[in-house]
Amino acid sequence: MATVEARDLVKDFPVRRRAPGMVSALASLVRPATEWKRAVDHISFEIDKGEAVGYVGPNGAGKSTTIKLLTGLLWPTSGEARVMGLLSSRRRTEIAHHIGVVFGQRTQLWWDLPVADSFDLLRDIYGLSESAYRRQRDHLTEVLDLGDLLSVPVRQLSLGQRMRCELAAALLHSPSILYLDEPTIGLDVLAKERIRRALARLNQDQGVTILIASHDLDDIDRLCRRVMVIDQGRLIFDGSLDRIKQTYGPERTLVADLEDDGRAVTAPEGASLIRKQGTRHWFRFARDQRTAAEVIASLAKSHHILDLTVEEPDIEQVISRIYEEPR
Amino acid sequence: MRNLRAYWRIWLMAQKGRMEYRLNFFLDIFALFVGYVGLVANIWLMTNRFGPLAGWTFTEIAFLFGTFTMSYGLSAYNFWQFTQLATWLRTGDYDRYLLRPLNPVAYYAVERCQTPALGQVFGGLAIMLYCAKLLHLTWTPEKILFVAIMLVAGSLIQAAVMLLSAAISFWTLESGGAWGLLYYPMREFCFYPLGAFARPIVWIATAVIPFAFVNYFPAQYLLGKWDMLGFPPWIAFASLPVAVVFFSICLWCFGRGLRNYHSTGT
Amino acid sequence: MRPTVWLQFVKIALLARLAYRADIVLSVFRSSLFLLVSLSVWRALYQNPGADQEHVTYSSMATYVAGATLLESFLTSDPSYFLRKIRTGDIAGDLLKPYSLPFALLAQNVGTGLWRAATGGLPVVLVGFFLMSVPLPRPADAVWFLASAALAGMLYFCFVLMISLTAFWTLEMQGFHDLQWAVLAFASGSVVPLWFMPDVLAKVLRALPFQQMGFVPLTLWTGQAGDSGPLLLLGQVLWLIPMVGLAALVWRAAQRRVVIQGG
Repeated sequence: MATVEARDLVKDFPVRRRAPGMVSALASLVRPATEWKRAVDHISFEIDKGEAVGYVGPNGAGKSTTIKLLTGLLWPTSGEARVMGLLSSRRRTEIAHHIGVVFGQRTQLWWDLPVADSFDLLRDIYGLSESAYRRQRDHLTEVLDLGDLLSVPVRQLSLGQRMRCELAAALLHSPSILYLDEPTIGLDVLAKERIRRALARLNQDQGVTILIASHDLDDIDRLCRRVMVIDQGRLIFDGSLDRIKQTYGPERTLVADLEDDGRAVTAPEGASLIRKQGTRHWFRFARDQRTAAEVIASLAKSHHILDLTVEEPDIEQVISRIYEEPR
Repeated sequence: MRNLRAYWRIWLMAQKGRMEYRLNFFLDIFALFVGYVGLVANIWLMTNRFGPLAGWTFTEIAFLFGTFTMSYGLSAYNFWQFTQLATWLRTGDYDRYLLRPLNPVAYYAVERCQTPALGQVFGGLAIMLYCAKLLHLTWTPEKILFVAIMLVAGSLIQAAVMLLSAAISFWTLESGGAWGLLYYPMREFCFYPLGAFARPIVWIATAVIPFAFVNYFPAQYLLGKWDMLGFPPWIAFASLPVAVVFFSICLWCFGRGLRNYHSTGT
Repeated sequence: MRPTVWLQFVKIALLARLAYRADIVLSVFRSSLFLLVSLSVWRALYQNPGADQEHVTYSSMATYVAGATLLESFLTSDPSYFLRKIRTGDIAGDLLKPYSLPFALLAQNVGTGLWRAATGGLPVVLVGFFLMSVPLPRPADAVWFLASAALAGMLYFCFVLMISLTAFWTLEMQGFHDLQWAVLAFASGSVVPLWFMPDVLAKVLRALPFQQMGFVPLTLWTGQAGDSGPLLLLGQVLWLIPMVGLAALVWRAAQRRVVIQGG
């Protein structure tokens, strides 16, 4: 039994163009919406226990809608969303114990209270035993480095600090699944790094199944081995991150610092020089035509290499190539 | 029930979070008081010059008013936030109540309790007791029990209207619209003795939005008036069953509204 | 301030209101219900013996009540204007504008007031006339009323302006506004006319400015003034002059305060 299962999920929304208020509400009863927008178009996937899956797509593609369907906030127009075998739309309270949700732009903490109070309240809401709660709380405090923050009122936290607390709050009841919707939005590089590291730890050490929807492809790159790409409500790719890069990012780049011996630099066989800055040279080559070793060896024959790295394709480019594919 | 403990703790935390806004609390109470003084003063001026209104003296009317206010305070304490639900829906802030393993109505009712409403509870109680004293009401155990039931029923009915306006706001997506339309006019009618109004109004206050059961009918028994406007005398004791039925209906409406939210989002 | 600029403000206020077209019907419905409450209450009161002592019949009272609704819809003001602007810091920008802020606010108030009277007050008067047997005033009375209402509006504006300016000192005006509103609720005579009040109270209230914003215009509306129309208007003007002066003083003081405090 898959931990999270979406089976032929469809979600249609009535196209709303009316103003708020009584009169338009009454009017809409008489003249019901005839236009529907399909936000989720027959999406199916299964996520097994312990997987960390990235969910990528442009704005309005249906990422948030999918997550809302999986958590039971929205009910599908047709199809099923199941968590641990239970239907999200029917078994909301049961499912609540198994899932943790983090929304990037909304808080689930109590604004005026110290973080520790929010945690205590969650213990009561989820009916956790004191010992289990303490253990999990202390563990999360350590993983997310919350020690100094516990006594601070939530509204005084910086965004990065708050997101770490949100993450902890979502996991206090030891759910087996964690959904994240844009968790690193608005964070600086350092804060993002901390969150990613913590998530990786939680996934690897504790086996928390993670589904992360994010614009920031580095989030996905660092954390997930599997990626689902959604565009206009349809799942256009579901597979490993490596395969994505291989299929859609067939080129790699060799970055080499070459000793300047006065001669012009020529690209090794099978590669082309795309950029030069001082002694640093960028050579692009196709992975199915040459291995990195071959290119390096070829280059070393004609030049003295001081230093080198091999860069994988930029995931942004890879993903945008997927969107461009005719479907 | 494990959940009861959860609600208790949520309520405790809510008090803690509000401590900072203590000054606002007193200002709110002051505003409430000041708002009602005008109304009461006007009623006094009217009855002072003209005499009883539909057979009710000023003190009796003030008793009606105090009773209504008190049960309003009790209901508003836990349910006023439902009248503003649309705002929460739009920002997505209500979602958290749907993601936790608690009943979304009870949870929202407890966590967002409105401390300023307590001002109305005490104000209404003070008016009620003072008028009772002026009217030489004797407080027998039956009467006290009756008052308790009257307040419970009254606040259930008013809470039900708040739930109903929340239910409607799932469709109108506007805070306070339905509330302003349903509640305030009806309430205005029920501040005064119902006998002053035309039959259709009396019927609406009895059978549609049953505010008559909040203060008018129970007052018949307490004040010994028995002017039942053509209804049978036992109607003075019917507040609680009416309240329970009405509340259930409005709760059901809220459930339908919630289902609509699950289907169409915002 | 040039008249065209003034008119612009009136227009802006009116246009802002147009967005709420659909709610007007519901709002009129609601106000009509409140009118019904008042009428029923007065009718019940008039069942008592000796009701006609002051020679004011129920019909007159009905007209009075409808007029009060109309007047109330016109007397409008936003007391939190300055508080909001101070909190956001916009006040600095406002004070730098090349026109007098209070006049701009007055112009906006006129626009809003006219709009609310036209879409809220007037329809209710008509509903009263067609559906609830509320007599309309005689045309001459209506004209006196309009003049008086205009004066009342300016007087009301001065009051609310001063109250909203307290925000410059206390950063809090809601309490004062609530108090003012509550006092006005009975001291203006809008609900219970001064004829029906106990002598002592009536004497006190006649000496206060509040009646100028309720009882006086409504006396004219119901034709109870006899020939004293001009006298009543004069009374309003005599209150208006010192009030305007006072408001101007408070405004100067508020401006000085901003300069000193630095916003």
